[in-house]
Amino acid sequence: MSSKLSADVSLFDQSLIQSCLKFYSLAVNVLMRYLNIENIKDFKSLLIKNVEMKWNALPEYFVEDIGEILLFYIQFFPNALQDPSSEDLSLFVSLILCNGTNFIKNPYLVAKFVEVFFTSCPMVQPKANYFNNLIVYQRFDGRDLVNSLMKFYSDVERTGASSEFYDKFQIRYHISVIFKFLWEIPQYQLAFINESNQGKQFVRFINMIINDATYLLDESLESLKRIHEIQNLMENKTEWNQLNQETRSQKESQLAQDERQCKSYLTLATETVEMFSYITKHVKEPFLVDEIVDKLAAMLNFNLYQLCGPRCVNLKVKNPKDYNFEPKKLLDLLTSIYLNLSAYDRFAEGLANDERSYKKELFIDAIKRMSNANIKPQIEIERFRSLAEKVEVIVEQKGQVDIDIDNAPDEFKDPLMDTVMIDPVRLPTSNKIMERSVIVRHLLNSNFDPFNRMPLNEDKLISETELQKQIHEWIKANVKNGEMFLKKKLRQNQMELEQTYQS
Amino acid sequence: MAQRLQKELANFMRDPIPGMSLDRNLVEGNLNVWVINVDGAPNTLYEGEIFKLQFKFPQRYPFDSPSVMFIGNKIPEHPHIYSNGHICLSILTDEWSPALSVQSVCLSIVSMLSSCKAKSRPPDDERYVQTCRDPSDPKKTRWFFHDDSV
Repeated sequence: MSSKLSADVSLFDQSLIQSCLKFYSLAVNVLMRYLNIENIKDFKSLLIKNVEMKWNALPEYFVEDIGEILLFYIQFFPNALQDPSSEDLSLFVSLILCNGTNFIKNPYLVAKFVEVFFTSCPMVQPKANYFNNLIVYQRFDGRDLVNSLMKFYSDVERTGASSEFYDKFQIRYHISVIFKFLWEIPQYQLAFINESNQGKQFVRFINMIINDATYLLDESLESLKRIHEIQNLMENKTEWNQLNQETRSQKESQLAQDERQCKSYLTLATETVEMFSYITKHVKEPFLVDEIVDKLAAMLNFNLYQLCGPRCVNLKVKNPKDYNFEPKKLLDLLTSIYLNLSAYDRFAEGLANDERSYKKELFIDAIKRMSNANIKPQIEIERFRSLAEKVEVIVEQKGQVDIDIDNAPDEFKDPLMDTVMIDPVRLPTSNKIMERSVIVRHLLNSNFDPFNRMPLNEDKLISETELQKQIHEWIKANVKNGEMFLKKKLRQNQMELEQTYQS
Repeated sequence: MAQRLQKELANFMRDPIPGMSLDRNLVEGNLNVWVINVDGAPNTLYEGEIFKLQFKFPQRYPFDSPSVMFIGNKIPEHPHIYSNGHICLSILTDEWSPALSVQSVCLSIVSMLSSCKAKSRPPDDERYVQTCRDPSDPKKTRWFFHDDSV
């Protein structure tokens, strides 16, 4: 105890802090010289094009130490950062944030600086306002920062470490809090919207958000169910006491684990869904592209089902606040995403395409819940209702098409998936005919003919143009809106092939 | 994938394998898990015994193989079946092909049971059952196939 106190006294000494800051701001200047950018203040952009060998030869801890000390001061001595030397330090932070993994290869090191920025945000450490402003209001264009953070958000999917799957959630949580903060600042909001019109990168970013939201909500709602079960069991004293000691302690540790997991996952999940809801308010098109819209709709429907469906009573836990579980807020956020995109036919089509959780009753339940709990004003509920009606019409049309297409003769169907082939190919050794996208997907993992295990690769597939023509003719003649259906299928096929090649 | 499973279900009902029947209660509502009742075939070591075989279909089925294992308290005593229900059968892992189906897997298992000459557990049963990666999913185990004759 006494040694801790004496350490505190010497480490927290004002003049030591001052000189540390001064030292590190000088260190930053040296580092920048290694990057050949000592006059960066005169530059227009913080992007670094080419990195010299001498920078790469520096040990990582030169940079890491700076991150560590900043984290420490922001948390415990935010006032100390109101010092002229902070200016260079903040510039260095911006420099790293804007370049992502361009000149620092280790993603965890970049993540440390993301955390520095995160900790300085007003909702985390309001007293670090001075330092935070230095980062936010650099004279540089906000677009670089937004672009780079968005890219980093997607890139941490693979960090190379064995714990990458869990690490990424932490890092992404930091980034999403930063985004929420930046979104309130007009120049950054503008940067976001500009970025969203640039295409590929933003689509990738959205794709990651959907994946995360799906996984996190799924896991946390599952663990809520388990908590509910165990709590009920414990409630029932007689039954609980009948269990033997071992089972009881096992259940208790399961409960503790679920409680921990639930809390952290729900915090992340809510943050992710919230990000969705404010982005969709201003940005629509990227959410409506083919790669995204069906996935998004399935994610929304599934979670709506979890929150409003017949089994939502299983989510009732004793102390929802302890796990950051706010079902009303979550429902509010989810439904605002629906409403933000409700004007677009493609979105309604996506909702209708979802076979896993879409049901007519689902939307009716959601509407009931929203009006009972006063989650949305009447006018928005009406909009939700008309969206539900639109979706139902599409579902009915689709049902008809499915019946028509199912009547296709067996020789038009893929032998593995039992779906009608749009682009049939012959396998040279077994002489079987299959849909191209299906066999290509199989060949990606294994290079043999599934029917006879003879070696096979993609180049050996023989297009069956005659059969293809027959099938297309048949669809046009026998399926309602056959022409449109065929076009859509062809587009989907193309997309599936592309995705297969990418993965 | 839903379509493929629908078709497999229809085929399974249409041409049932002798001694195997679908446990209906468990299929309803969820096509991704099937439980099949297996009756030990007459004139084999398992005559009169009843087992339950479980199929779990992964998201990427049929590109990935299904997880297949015996469940319940009666696990057939066989040199290739561990007492936790895991089955050592090459077509369930390394030699899986998407052209195989529930029916072909069932047939292999029936013939595996029927050709058995003496009831016993695999030699490493005790060790495996205690150390396997995931008792509920045999696919997490890396299998080595030491005997191709059964």
